[in-house]
Amino acid sequence: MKKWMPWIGWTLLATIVVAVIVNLIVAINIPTAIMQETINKKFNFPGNQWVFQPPITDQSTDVVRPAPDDIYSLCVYDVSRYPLRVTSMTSQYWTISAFAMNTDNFFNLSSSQAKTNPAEIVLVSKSMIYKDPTGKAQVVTAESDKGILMITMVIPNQDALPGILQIQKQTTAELVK
Amino acid sequence: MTDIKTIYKVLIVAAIALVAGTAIGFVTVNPVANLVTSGSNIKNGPWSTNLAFGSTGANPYVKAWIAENGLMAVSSSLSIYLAAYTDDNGQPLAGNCDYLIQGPAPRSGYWNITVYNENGFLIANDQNRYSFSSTDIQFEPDGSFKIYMSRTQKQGNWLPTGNAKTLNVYLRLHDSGTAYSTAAALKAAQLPNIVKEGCQ
Repeated sequence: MKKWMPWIGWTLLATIVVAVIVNLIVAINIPTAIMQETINKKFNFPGNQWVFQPPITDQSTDVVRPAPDDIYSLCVYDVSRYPLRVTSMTSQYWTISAFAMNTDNFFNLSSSQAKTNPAEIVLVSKSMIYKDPTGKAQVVTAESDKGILMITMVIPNQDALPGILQIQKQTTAELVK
Repeated sequence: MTDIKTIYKVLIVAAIALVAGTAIGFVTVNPVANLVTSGSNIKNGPWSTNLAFGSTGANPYVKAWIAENGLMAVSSSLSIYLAAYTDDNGQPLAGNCDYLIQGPAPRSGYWNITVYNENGFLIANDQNRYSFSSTDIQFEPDGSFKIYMSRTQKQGNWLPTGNAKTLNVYLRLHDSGTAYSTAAALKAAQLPNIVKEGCQ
């Protein structure tokens, strides 16, 4: 056996180890990087406020595979300092979902699960202890201090769209100071 | 002298491993994510899904795949998204072919079927028709449904495919209770068939 043969083996082994580690680190960070880029470039609107998206068309390219029967409301939340109270009228099929910066969908509520109409939630940071004084809101602990809230309302048919748009605009977000 | 030579060799090995390993690590992320995700997918005919989508417990490669292919996918406890990139015979869905999607109505409070182009976006068409849902589809007398996916106009539920080169179809199931909540239930479910009727 040539003297340099073991060194080739060590080089290959070390390369594989580095590749596996780098591969895993990149994979772990991809969701956060894409989420951050999406917030910076596509959802670059004021934080802790709802932005009512227009109905989806073939010109909608903010996210891949958008659902054309749904109408979306988005809120880039930041609960690092104060909790965020959200109220939303529910419609025939309505959902609210919360996504952490690593894209984890850590909270969902649908119209069939909501106990009140309008539905009320208070989103709080992991570092906060909060008790809702009204007792009506569902207190949700955010997986990350920043992230995205999304409300989806189904448009059952085009005739229902004006009513859905009216309901959509009654959605509120307010920091609890 | 031998020790210095050995140190040089170790440094060279480390340098090669760092450069080559980092490059390989970067370029193989997407293939590995595709492999891991497809490996854990639940398949039923042309349809596939992954109950880990949107889940906080999903492994990093599934999360990476979702971030790149369906950002803000909700947990399967709320909705299940099934994707089809092929017909029932496993042939890729081609933009120049006609397809019939048919089956019993899914057991969900609300469902829809949407067609996308090769980039995952809606296909422009004069009818502004991109999907059919449980609330606007014309059902057959027996409660089943048929959707025609084609570039040319069809009678009934027609999903125009415009100038798309390849197609992919999403079946979204909302408010399904426990009907599709497990891998076993999804594998056993009677999901719509996708049958090629011909090509232009």
